[in-house]
Amino acid sequence: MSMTMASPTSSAPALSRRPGITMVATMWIIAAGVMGFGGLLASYFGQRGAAQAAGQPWLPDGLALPNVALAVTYLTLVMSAVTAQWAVTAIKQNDRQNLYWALGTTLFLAFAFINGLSFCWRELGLVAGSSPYTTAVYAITVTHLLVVIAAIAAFMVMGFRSLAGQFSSVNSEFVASAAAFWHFAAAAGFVVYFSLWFLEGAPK
Amino acid sequence: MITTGAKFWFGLTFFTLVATVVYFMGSGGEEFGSVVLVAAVIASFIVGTTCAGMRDGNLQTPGGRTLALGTSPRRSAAPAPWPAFGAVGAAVALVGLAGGNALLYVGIGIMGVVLVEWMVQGWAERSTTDSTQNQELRNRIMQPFEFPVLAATIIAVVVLSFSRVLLALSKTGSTVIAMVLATVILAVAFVVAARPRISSTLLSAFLVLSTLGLIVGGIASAVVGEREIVKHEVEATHP
Repeated sequence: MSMTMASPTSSAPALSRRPGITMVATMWIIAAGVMGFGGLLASYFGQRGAAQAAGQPWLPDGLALPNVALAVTYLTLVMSAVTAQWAVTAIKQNDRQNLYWALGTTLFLAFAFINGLSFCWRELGLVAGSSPYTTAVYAITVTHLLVVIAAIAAFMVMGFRSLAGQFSSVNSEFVASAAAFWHFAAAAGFVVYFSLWFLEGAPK
Repeated sequence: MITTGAKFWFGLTFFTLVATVVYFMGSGGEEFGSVVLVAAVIASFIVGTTCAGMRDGNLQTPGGRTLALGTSPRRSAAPAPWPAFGAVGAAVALVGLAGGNALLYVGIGIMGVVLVEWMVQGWAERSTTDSTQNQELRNRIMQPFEFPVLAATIIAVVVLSFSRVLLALSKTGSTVIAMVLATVILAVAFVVAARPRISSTLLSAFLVLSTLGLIVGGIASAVVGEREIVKHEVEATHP
């Protein structure tokens, strides 16, 4: 017996895919990250204010901040936000060559940031736990470094997937999400630089 | 048009911003709270912008008509015991508050669990028009948390109750009770294994009644108090 049945989907109006699940998740992670850094910086400023109110020095004696190296390091990270957005623009135009260049440049700048940060740590010579300042500095900068490493991991996954032929102008949500997280890492870096280094090392 | 979800988050942004200004000025520039509030402003603004950009996650038909997920024409008939559990949590918290003991935190914990369960069920029941699918959605999210937590709670309650019973009885009595209970558990497990067709209702009733009996015994033993336990003296060692 032949049966003619309309499939359930053929009569129902076709619905578009639920928009932006990956992007929504990324935005929630970013919002959580903002609160996390907010808590860390609040702790930092709270201790700093308490030390200043008590008339105690906040910075360890004899500490010389490598201002130029710090500025260049964090500027490198902020620059990488531009190249990360370049990747989004490239994939939206189906320009895979530019996408590869953008991914490579972004990762290069990120590794340069890590290299610069490790150099700054060595120049500072701070020992975690020796004072509230050093503990707070390491807590914040290491947390930020972990965020940058997470962004690098997302970009590397994106790179491998794009090399495998994935992503296009109509399938670019993961690229946009990874770039959004990268912007968060760069913005957090700027705030960390301003709070920890610029406010303490600015010319007086 | 700003969506409903975005309005909520932008409203939160606005009020947090006002709170930041008020707190900063009122506290004489205290930095800890001010920075946390600024972070809350930014975080709520990010989520609000996401809601607006994603149109609250509503689906679009090819004609552009928005199918809001919150306008399901059918309501699920799933039972919602959460108001009753919430009342239990509130009562436990009140007892703890009056007695100044740990029951306060237990009650607050119960109310917290009720809040999460109620919110997830309320959200799941409005996800689609299919109540079965809604139930599956709810189970998929909550059961990975519910089963381990429930199992750990039952184990903790049983162990705690049984330990009270053993501590209240004499040394010989506690030994006998422990052996009897172990034998009963072994016998029940043997019966269940030997008769796979045993009614699940009967088995559930037996387990629930046994657990309740153990809890009642534990409470009664806790009221009676522990037996006197002679401490072993440690002989000093001489070099």
